[in-house]
Amino acid sequence: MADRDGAAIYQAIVRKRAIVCIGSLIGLVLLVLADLMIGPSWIPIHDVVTTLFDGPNGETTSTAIVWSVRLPMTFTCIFVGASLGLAGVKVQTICNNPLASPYTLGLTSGAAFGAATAIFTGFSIAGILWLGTAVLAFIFAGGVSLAIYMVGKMKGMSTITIILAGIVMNFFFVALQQLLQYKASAEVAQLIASWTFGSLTRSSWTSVAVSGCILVVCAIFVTRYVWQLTALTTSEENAKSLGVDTESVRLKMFMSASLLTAGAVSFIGTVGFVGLVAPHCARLLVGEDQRYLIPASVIFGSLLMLAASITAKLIGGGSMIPVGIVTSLVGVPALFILLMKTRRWE
Amino acid sequence: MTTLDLDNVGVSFGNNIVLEEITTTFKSGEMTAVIGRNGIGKTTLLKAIGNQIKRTGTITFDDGNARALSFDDISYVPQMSSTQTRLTVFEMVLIGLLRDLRWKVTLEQIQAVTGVLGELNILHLSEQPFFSLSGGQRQLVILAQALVSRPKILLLDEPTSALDLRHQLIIMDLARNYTHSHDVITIYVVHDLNLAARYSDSIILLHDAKIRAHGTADEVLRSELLEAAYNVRLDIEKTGAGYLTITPIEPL
Amino acid sequence: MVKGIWSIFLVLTTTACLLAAGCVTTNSAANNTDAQITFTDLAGREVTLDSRPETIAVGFYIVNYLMVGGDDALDKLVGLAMDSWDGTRYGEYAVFTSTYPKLLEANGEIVNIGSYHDDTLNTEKILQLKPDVLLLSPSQYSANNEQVKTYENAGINVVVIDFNSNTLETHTRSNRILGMLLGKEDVAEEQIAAYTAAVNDITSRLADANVEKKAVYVELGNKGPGDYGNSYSNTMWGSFATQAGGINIADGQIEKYGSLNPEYVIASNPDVIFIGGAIWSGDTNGDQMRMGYTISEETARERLKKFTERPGWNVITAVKEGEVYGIDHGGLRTMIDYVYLQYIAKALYPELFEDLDPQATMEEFYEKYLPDLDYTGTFMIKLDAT
Repeated sequence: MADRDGAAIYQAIVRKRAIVCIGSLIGLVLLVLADLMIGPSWIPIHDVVTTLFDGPNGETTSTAIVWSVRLPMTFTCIFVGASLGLAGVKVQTICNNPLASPYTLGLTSGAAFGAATAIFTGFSIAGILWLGTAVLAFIFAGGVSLAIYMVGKMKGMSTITIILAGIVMNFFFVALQQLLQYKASAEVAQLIASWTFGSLTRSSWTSVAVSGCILVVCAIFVTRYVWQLTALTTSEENAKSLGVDTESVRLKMFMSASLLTAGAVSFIGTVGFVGLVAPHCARLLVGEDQRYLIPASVIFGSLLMLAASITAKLIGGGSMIPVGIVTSLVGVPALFILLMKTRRWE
Repeated sequence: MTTLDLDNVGVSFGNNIVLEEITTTFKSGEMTAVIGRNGIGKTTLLKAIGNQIKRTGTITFDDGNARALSFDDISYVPQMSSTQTRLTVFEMVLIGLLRDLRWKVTLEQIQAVTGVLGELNILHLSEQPFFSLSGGQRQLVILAQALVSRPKILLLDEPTSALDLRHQLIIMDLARNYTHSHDVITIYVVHDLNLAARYSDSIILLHDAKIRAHGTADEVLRSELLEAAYNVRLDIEKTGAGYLTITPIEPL
Repeated sequence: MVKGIWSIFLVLTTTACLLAAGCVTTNSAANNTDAQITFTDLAGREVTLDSRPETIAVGFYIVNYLMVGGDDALDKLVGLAMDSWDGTRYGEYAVFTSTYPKLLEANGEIVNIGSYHDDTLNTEKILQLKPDVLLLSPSQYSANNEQVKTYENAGINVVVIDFNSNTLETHTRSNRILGMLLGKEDVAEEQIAAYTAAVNDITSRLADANVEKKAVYVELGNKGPGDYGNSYSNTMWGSFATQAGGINIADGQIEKYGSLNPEYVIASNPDVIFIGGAIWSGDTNGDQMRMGYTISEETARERLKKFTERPGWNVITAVKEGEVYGIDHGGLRTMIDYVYLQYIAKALYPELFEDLDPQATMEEFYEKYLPDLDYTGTFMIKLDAT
């Protein structure tokens, strides 16, 4: 009798979460289709499907639009949102702070400074400007996380250390970037500023491949640690008493979060709030069990980005509103609502 | 019967010697209370046994074949100050099986959880979120978390501090029953000497980084030993019902 | 006694005044040669100069200044806003400083009075320099509004001209003012006449011909092919595209300038595409569009080609038919920029403007007004060398 009760109890606890995950996955598919349909030239759903099946070598305008413009953008949306959602949930777990995000840890401002440097100096790789910008952004984001890692090694990778180091990095690199903008000519300064509004026009099949690979690798990597992360969310001591090497776990999660963030923003620019709001939403709906929280954060991240992309297209019409602006504008009230809804911790 | 042997165990932080020459034996089915002044090293001793900190010396566990302690043998329950989570009671206990949990939770694991929840009489709290529980209930859950993995050695660091009277007794009763029925070695740190007196098969008194005494309550809870260890004049009496009571009188 | 002295004082003062008035009246033969110069500048200010300025400090439009004034104007130049000139307009900087070494800051012959690009002016240096006239662009004027009062109080005449708005009227009035200031009214009028004629010519030909309008896409190629740079609507290249009789696909999508949605560009299927180039940062190894002074045709074509290889551009009519052109972004804002209008018109409706030769017209202009300048470079180019 106790067995059946036990199983029943367990099912009752996890059922709702499974439903949320599956439901949001369905929502994701729907939004993907919507994103492929919506744009300055509306393409009805059956045209989208036909064009997809026809392959990328057609000569019609629809082919060009769907295959060269929309598909890379949609996939980038999905992968960037997913990466930020995954990075966000990792960061929030290891910092034990729902306001932590890749943004507040200085990772995105490191990337922005790298991009600013590339734009300022005209740095290019194989003669390609946007590649040079992306690579330098990536390197600088990595540099920031390495610096924080060094601090962590010296002072111990505690929650406070990570947060403080991140704040310092943030201010430092934002200041450097502003310095570059000040010294640059008006046009270059405008270029630097516009990079900081993440824009999907910078998507390409290359960016899709890179961020996709990183996402898959990091997602697989994290599955080993799901229960350790769940334990970590209860408290440091509790996790330690259960045998979790908390410093090592935090370190690994931090490095993979850095990789994810770098892969996400180096190509398209800064996208804020997704890494903050997605895990928050997910946590409200599925709780702290990382087996559900992590997939939910990933899916919600993609959902948020797709919603932002669709909104940007609807508002923008023929011009291109950077998706990073939409996520910021929407993110603030969303966060506010979430904070109101979050039950007060004792 | 299983035994836990400590041989010349020591712990130091830098030049600061916290524990030295700790040599003693624990037997299964027995509860041992570790007492002594604040900061004397009680928690450190627990952590040394529990593989939580570096130590010198050897610790041998003999359950038929003598071997070093592995993590699977121990459950260490630290002082629960800041644990706070929305996880349900069921899940909190479930993660006590952390080392064996895979993505999919097996039926045996579920049964283990419900089993221990039943033993501790908190099965009815299963679906409640941890943070909504009272202090006493939380401690029960933490205890369940420690017990679900069927440890051979149970280490409790001040399990009753900040609990109301009723829950203090409930926790200690449960710990004792578990110790005796499952034949485990239980070592716990406590401040309340009366609890120590009542809930122990043996007591260790720590003083000056060493074991000052290790024996039954009658052997260890003597005024000369305690007054030297605590710097307090004490009054030790037996009540009519046979409970040893220790009343602090004045600081020395 | 006091009354006596007072009366003599009054008589003397009155006589002095009458004499002075007499002098003033005889001198104000208002024909702006040796005497007063009066005009309304492009910020709507009434400017009155007692005589032609001997010393001039230029905040902006040094090229226009020299185009009207030539070597004489160079003699009068005492100050120039030079910071980051090389970073903002490298080609122009290289060519002008080598032809006119006086412009090189390192030579110390003129005072550096501020930034070439961000409207910052060095007030102290300007006050120390005390030029007769300080020439400013509209944005410099509005950014330095407070300081202008200080300059005026110190006896410096601030004159605002505007070649940025790129309209016939503003170009005309601004050039006329330059003519007045530099004593080259005839040169100025010549340039104005040529400009007006060219613009009217195009407008009337288009009106008479009733051609089927073509769709045009203009983009500033400063981000390289990997990202979409700004397009223009009703300003700069956008207004040229419209004046040349094209349908600017950016109209209605952006205000003034902004980048377009790549999808929209593909879907609009423009008939002709213009990519604006310049030298934006010293590095020449990237893939920004390069046009202007010192740039070779090979470089320009090479860079232009990469833009046509953008994802999805293979289906655009302009790309399929090779109707892709590069234009020098630095070419705007001068009295010869109408050649770009001609070039665009010619590209859109070749049959209608067959007789126009914008490149030759441009070269003639340079030969005539800046004969010492080595203007080697690429300013207008088609992708396929036909």
